[in-house]
Formats: sequence, structure tokens, C-alpha cells
Amino acid sequence: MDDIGREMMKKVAIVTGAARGIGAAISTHLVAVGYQVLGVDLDWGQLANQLSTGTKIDGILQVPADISTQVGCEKVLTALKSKFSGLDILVNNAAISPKAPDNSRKNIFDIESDEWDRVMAINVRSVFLLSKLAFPFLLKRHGNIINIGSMMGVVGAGNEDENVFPSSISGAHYCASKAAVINLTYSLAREFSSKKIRVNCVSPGAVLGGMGNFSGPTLSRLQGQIPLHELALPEHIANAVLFLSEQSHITGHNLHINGGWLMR
Amino acid sequence: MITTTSSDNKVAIVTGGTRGIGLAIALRLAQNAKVYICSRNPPKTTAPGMRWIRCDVTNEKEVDDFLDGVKAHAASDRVDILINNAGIATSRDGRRITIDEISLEEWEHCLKVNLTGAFLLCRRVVPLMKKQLSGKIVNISSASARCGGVFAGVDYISSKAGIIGLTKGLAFELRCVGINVNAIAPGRIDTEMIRNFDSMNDWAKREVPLGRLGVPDDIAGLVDFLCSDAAAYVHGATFDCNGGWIMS
Repeated sequence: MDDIGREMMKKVAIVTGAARGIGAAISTHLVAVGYQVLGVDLDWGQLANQLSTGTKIDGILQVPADISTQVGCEKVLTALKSKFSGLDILVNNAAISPKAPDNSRKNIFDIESDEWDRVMAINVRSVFLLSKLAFPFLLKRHGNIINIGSMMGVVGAGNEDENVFPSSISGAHYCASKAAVINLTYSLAREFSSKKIRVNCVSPGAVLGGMGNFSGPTLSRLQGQIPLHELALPEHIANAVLFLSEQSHITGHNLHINGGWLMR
Repeated sequence: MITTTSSDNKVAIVTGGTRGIGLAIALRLAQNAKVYICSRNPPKTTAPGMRWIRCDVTNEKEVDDFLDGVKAHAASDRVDILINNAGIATSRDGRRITIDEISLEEWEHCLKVNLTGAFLLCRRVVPLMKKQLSGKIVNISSASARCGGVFAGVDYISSKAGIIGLTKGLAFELRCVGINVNAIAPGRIDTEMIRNFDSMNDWAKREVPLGRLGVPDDIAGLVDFLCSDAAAYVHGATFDCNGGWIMS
């Protein structure tokens, strides 16, 4: 088998939101165990047609794409198809969680309609579009999908009293979007089960180096509320993704990684 | 998979470890730990690194004697991993036993084996783990506790729901001491226990999205993960492994 043939037979993963935080950790872990990873992120660079010259950093093939759009999602699968014959894992991780200017929770009256729509487009619609578009490639390898949800998708946003559970800085739009991702996981798990494509979700609580950008009094308050008295690291989430990707009898599961902050 | 299995040279206990899920778990953990299994009857199979000590988990003195036996044989006060797996389930003529058919004696026995046994083991082991500032506890519940069950009676379902409560309560109580406490809620797993019920395979093909019963090794793999450093931030969680039968 020549080099191109060997390359095409390697295990392949797509990870969205791969440029930082949880997505970067997942990508790195997958590369370390031998996956070819297509790391998708708006922030890799300008939105230019760089597919044929996609930069590979640390084994991750960077695919700049705006997955809030159909065209952007199609671009991801075109990149996959140009190099690989199938797909083993799709990790839908990309998300946004807009905050107030001082990094506190946005209350519902401060959320404009276009921001609500943008959150839904990136956090939820991308999961729907990519799962649908990736299906034929997953089918070739009995691949699986792992969606990154959130504990906030289960409990909802907090209120002004920071000492009352959940004292989270996530807005209602982010929380609702993650509830949709969790529920979509169940639907996809059932629809894809006859083809032996498993679909699961990992729902982090508070993650150091994640979107919350926790520091100072907020960090201390969260640490006090979480039974394990610390926030998760992106690597904790990556470990769970890797583990779930290898389990043949688990589908439709929402795995909570939150240090006991929420017990379901 | 990048996980560092923390079970190297550790002491692990698996109750009901002589057959089915318990045996699969014990065999998996024995790859890297000294494993002590217990049951009322001796096992048909063991493996290097595994030792059976007789124990009826409903009997407080036998639990104490079992743990004394572990301590003596391991020459150590440590217990690094506790898997509360021992459990029973009754059927009636190959079908679900209904509430009017369950005697008080059967109800109490089921709760004693499935829940009180876990309580007795945790009560003795938790102080050891606290002293160590480390430990992993995995309690085996059931998917029936999530949904009210299909084949199991209310005695079994209640006991397994209690296991989830015990897990959460203990997880809250043991905050910040280096001990992880979690539960697994298996779906229908192909073991002797469920072969008492009729038509399991047909049911699985129809009702389970992945189209099959689970096998004991599906659960053993989960236990291995939960007992490893890779799951250091998983605490108070109940892990479903049921082929998509119940999604929660």
C-alpha cells in the first residue's frame, strides 16, 4: 500500500471549535492515539479557500469554516472527502456563550434576537447540519458522533443571586441551545442506531480554560459550590470523549463531567 | 486511548464477583490490581490476582470478617476500589413478578442484598479511603431504576433506585477528599440473572436501538474507565450503558 493509501485508511475525526479550550484538547488527544484530525474553527484565519493548502499543526489539519451556515458545513465535508475515504468520529464541540461586557451573565432582557439566532445557529444548527452531512462518511466506518452539551443545558441559567444554584454566568440562550444539543443527541441516536452509528453527548460543568473565562471571586465561588472543589480541565472532557468513542453498547447517553456539581 | 489506569498495584473489592457482570469487572481489574471478590458461593472461575472470600453482604459480621480477610491477605489497610455489584432479581414463571406476588420477606431480602449490602461495604471502606485521601467507588444500579423496568419487579427497581440515591448522597458527603463515587445503570445484560426471563433476545432486537443485549464486558470497560485517572472529574454521575434503550 502506498503512502496515500495508508493515509486514507487511518482513523479520522472531525472536531469543531478546535482552535482552543476543550476542542483543542480533544483534537490533541485524538492525534496522540493515531487519529487524523480535521480541526474546524472560524478562528484559524481568514475565511479563504485554504482547503488545498490546509495547515497542519501538531497533526491537526486546520479547516477554517463558519459552521453556522450550510455552506460552511459543506466546506468541512468537502475537506474530509478530498483526503479521506470515511469518518470515524464527529465531535460537535463548537459553541458560543455571549456574556455581558463585564463577563457576567446576560439576563434575558439584554439578549437581542439576532444574538439569540446566532447562538442557535452555531451551537445547535451546526450539530444538525454536520451530523446529516457526515452521515454517509460515518456509515462507511461505523463511526460515531459525540456532541458537547453542558450541565447548563439540563439546569438552565441562574439568576441575580450568585450564591443560589446554579451560579452560572451562562445566558438563557446558551442554556437553551445546549438543551437542544442534548435532546438532538437522543433523536440522532435513535435514527442512526439501525446503521450502528452511535451518538452520545458529554456535558461539562465549569471548565478552566473554557468559555467561562473564570477568575477571581467567580472562580472561588464556583470552586466552593462544586463537591470536588475544582473546575474541570479540558483534558477531563477529552478523556470522556475518547472513552465514549470506543464503547460499543453506549448510545444516547449524556455523560456529565462536573465534579458532582449536578448529579443526574 | 489516553487514560492512565490507576489500578496498578491497588486493592480492589468486587461484591458478587463470581459470575456475570461482577466476574467480568473482577477479571478486568485483576489486570492491574489485587482483586478480592465475595459471594455466598465459591466461584467457578478465577484468575491470577483474584481471590475469593466468602461473604453474605446482608450480614454485618460477614462483611466485617470479609474486610478483615482482605486486610490480612493484602497485608495492607488500603482499599482503593470498591465495586458494589452484588444483586438479585426474581421472576415469576419467566415473567415480571407483580407487587401482589412479592412477599414482605422477598421485598426485604431483595433490598438487603441489593442496597443494604452496598451500604455496609461503603460504611466500612469509606473511612479507609478517607485516610488514604483516595479511592474509587462504583455502585451498580440498573436502567430499570430510570424507567420503572420491564422485566424486574418493584422490589428490584426500588433497590436499584436506592443505589443511585446512595451514590449521590455519598458523592456529596465525600466532597474534596479525593474519592470519586459513581454509579452505572446497565440495561439488559446477557447473564444468568436475565436468562430467568423469557424472550430477552427478541425483546432486545425490537426495543434496543443497537439491537442487542449488552455483555458483561460492556460494563467492565466502564468500571475500568471510572476507576482510572481519566475519570478524575466524574463524580456523583450515573452512567447509562443500555444500547440506547433508555436515554436520560
